[in-house]
Amino acid sequence: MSRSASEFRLEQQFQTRVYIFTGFMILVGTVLTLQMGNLQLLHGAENRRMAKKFVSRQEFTVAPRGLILDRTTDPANPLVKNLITTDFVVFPSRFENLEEGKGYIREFCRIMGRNYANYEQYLTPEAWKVLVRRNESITLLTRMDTAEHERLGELRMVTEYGSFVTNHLRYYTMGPAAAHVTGYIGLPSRSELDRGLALPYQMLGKGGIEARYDSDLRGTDGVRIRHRFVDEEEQLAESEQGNSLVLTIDRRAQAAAYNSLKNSGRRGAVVAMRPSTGEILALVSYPAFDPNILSSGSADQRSRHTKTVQDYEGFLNLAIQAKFPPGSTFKPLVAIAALENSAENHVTEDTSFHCAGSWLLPSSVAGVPPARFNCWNAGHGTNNLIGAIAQSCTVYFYQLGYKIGPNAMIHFAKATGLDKKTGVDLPGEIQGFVPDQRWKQITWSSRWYDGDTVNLAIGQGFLEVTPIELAVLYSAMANRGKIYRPYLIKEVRDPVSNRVLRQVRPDLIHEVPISQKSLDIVQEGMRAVVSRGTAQHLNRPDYPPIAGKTGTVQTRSRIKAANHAWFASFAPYGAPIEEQIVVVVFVEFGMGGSAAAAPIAGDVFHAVFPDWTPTVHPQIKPDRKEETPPNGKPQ
Amino acid sequence: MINRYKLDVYLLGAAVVVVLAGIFTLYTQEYQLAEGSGRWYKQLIFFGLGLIICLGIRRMNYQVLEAYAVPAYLGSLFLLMLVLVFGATIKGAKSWFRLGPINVEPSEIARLATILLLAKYLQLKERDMGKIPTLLIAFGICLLPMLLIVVQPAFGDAFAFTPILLSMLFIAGADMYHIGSVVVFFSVAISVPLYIEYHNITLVDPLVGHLSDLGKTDLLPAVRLLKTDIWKFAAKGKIPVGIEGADKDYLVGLAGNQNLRASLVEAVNSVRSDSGGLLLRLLENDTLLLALGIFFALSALVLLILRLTQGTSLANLRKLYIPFGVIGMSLLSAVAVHTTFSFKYHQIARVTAFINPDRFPRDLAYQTRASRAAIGSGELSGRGIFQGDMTTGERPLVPEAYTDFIFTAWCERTGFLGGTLILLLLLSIPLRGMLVSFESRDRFASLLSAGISFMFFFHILMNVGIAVGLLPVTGLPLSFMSYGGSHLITAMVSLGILLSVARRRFAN
Repeated sequence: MSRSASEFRLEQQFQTRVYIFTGFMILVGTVLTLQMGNLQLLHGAENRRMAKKFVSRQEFTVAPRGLILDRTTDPANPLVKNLITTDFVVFPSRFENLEEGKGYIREFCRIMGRNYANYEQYLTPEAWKVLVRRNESITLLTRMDTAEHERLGELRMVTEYGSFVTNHLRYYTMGPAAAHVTGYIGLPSRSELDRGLALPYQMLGKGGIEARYDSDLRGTDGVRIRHRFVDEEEQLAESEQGNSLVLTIDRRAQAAAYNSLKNSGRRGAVVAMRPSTGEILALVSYPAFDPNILSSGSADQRSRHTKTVQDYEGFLNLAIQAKFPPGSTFKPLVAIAALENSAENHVTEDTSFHCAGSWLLPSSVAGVPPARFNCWNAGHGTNNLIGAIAQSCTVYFYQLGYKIGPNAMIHFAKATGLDKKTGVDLPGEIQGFVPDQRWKQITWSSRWYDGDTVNLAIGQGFLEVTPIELAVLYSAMANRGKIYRPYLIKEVRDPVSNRVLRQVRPDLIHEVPISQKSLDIVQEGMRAVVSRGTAQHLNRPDYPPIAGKTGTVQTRSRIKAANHAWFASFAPYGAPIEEQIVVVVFVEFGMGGSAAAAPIAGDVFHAVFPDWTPTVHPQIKPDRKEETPPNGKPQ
Repeated sequence: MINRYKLDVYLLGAAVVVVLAGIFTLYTQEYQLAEGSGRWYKQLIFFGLGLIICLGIRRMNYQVLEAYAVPAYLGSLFLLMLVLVFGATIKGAKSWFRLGPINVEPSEIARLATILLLAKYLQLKERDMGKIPTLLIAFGICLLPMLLIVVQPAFGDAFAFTPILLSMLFIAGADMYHIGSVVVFFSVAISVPLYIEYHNITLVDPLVGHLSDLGKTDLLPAVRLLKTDIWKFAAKGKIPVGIEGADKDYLVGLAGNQNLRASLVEAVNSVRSDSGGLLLRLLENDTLLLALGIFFALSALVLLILRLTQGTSLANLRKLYIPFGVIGMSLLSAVAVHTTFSFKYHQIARVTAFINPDRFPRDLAYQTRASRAAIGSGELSGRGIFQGDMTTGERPLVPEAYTDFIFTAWCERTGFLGGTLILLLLLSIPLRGMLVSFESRDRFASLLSAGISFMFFFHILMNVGIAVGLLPVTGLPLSFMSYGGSHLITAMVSLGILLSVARRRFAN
């Protein structure tokens, strides 16, 4: 056909445009190919790795936690161990359909004697679909025993439809008796996760040694890669158990302390330690919690137990987290303070004051009459220092304190660390409180009165200490003023080879300069407490010779005469210091230190020295025959 | 090779190979499952059916189609309206008819029918391609089905009409200035606000980092609370609805405090200029754009008046005032869009996530990332025919691995070599179609074959572009390869028409 010019132009334009568009197509094809090359050739390996990540799921195999042993280091009999339990689970995704799954579970119930109704929540179509989609399992049996394992053998296709899951459960062999020492484990809380202490699936130590040494106990988790579609697994790294910890705890002492305190029916704390090293043989706070329930119980059990414990404040570790006025247990330190400055105040062991049941504190403020301070009985008569300690004569110490003034007492109280943390390796320790003049001025906007001085002299008033601080003080008084840091961990050991990885050496923090002469006098006074004083009932032939001090602290409680009870002691008196132990007992509202606290200490000493006879230690000097009868006239 | 049946084997051959490759891929995606839904043999059946239909149509004279163009078009519109009433809602859109075991998608049919009608119309208006009314009517022909599809709602499908329309206008001889103007106008008017909003989202993290570095930690809670609304807050103190109580008091207090406000604004500005760049600062400055827009628009107006008054001697001014006018109008509308529409976070994210998928939260950019990783993992020769982990199973890790991302599945298995091969074959179909269009004596035939080629081309471009992560995700299947009877049959019908044109191209 013929073409006109315009048609020709149109035709040209058309052809040009076809060329253009074809070129565009080729360009697009090239761009796409280039991008493909970019993804596949340039970044191919990277993408292959990323694809693997999409397709597989990385799982962690949880490492077993390290063991905690007591000082006997017997791995066969640990304080805290892991129990391996087996659960039996089935996977809904392995069944053809819901009906088949139901049938299988019915058969399971028949063979094992379980109630089908327990599993119905999983057997609705919606729940089943979710389980299939997420490839999750239904737990049919927990903590199987051998009998159940055998019976399960009758069930068919056990490995096709289900599998056995091993769990590591933590078991605390002493239960609540050592609860405040061991702590417990649990899943991390929100704030703990935020602080990066653990991953969401890991168990974290809470309180006590489990928390303080969590990094040692945790071990290293293994890594496993599981393919999403094909049933194949690859263990990339094996899990490694956490290190074993050897504690300084003596099981007998711990058990004796706990049981004795529990039988008293009151709240309280006991601390037993070695003054020569700082090792803690027992640390008890009652009431406690059951770490087994909290670590291994079901969510229901745990929350119920937690609520119960919170109601009676069982999570509070009274040994390190609560402070009280030490009462008469402070008097030996007052005596030391007096004796050390005898050049100024002329106080010697023979310094005596008379007690007629009460004493008048001279007034230092014009217009204010003198105040009457009472003793705890009708009157002790005149006593020297040792006798006053033995009888815990309050009036004597009022006068002694008034005589020497507050500065020496405050100095020694601070020097022996009564207002500082002891540094024990448990979390949550608080520090005690020693008042001084400056503090009083700032806090109460009034100056230090003589009344404060005399109150301080009998360990009341503003002074407050924790039981462990008192234990450190008495360790110092038994051990020539040496302050050792109290510690619970002796060794860290490798879980497989039992080789010692770390060993803790005694840590001498401070040495308070006290002359041997003063110490001898005060120690003799403390022995007199037991041999003829307020704690005579501990003076038994089947007990080692004990030296110590009773204490009764008046509280401002509404309940009439509700006093706290203390007993701070060390034994065997006269034995080499390496063999001695210090025991401090605190009983809340115990009424009388002698009646309530001292027997508990006695039980502890008896547990540590069970076969005591008087001939065991020939080095122990017999008591000096100091005859000061209770209502005493001096001899 | 021209055999005695005048069968264009290149066309048919390429399509057949692609379909078989698709079926094979479908087979490998399911062979492990005990209970696969047997997509591959369904696809095979549809293929067989489609092949028969295709060859049958080929025998027909395409000029018959010319006669039935208008009824076909109207019929497709009717189907589109029908599906809104009787259609099944799949993935949130009423785009399918369920006829027993078969699903039919009217939007595909509409696309073909529109191309048919356009071809006819543009052929009629051959000499009038420079005139505006022609263009407007052509737009109108496309607009009706587009609107009906948008109502479903299915934006991806509707949008697919646009490039086909523009290409057909291009090939039919429309004035480039006209087409170019439209393209530029819409691009600028939409892109500029999107660009700004994209940066609004991605600059939040640098802002947090910047404030932390400076130690201005008292301002950090505001950023964490407001996230992408922090920019409006810094500029105007605007607190979005939905923030109550202590948070709201804090923000009100912050806005009132001069010093804090000033330091916040300073931090915002430095982050936007450092990390966003000069372009961002220019584009987000509404006054600047407004001024520029007015300047261009006014000068275009002046030039236009000059041309109209002075006559044809200044016809060349047309080359100036059209672009000026377009730039001006588009800048103005960009500002208008930016200030009036507030795009929701997920809308922007959906469209822009492909640029940098790692910046966006997991689920939004997931398809892009998964597809890229899957394709990339194929490396040179693939992971193995049966090793396509990411695209296998009932719930593959790349979603839609049977349909929209079938290309991904193929590339994972066959690597770069297989991918380029299939891409070559796929593109050879529209390329061959262009040849057919070129060689056709009949204008209608040229336009029709071009239109169908464009349809195939843009389907391939969009699908593969999405799979490799160059385009935002819209649900568009790959012709011939994606699983789906409706798409396959429609593609085979289109192929049949193309073959029919090819057969007769030397005639007339």
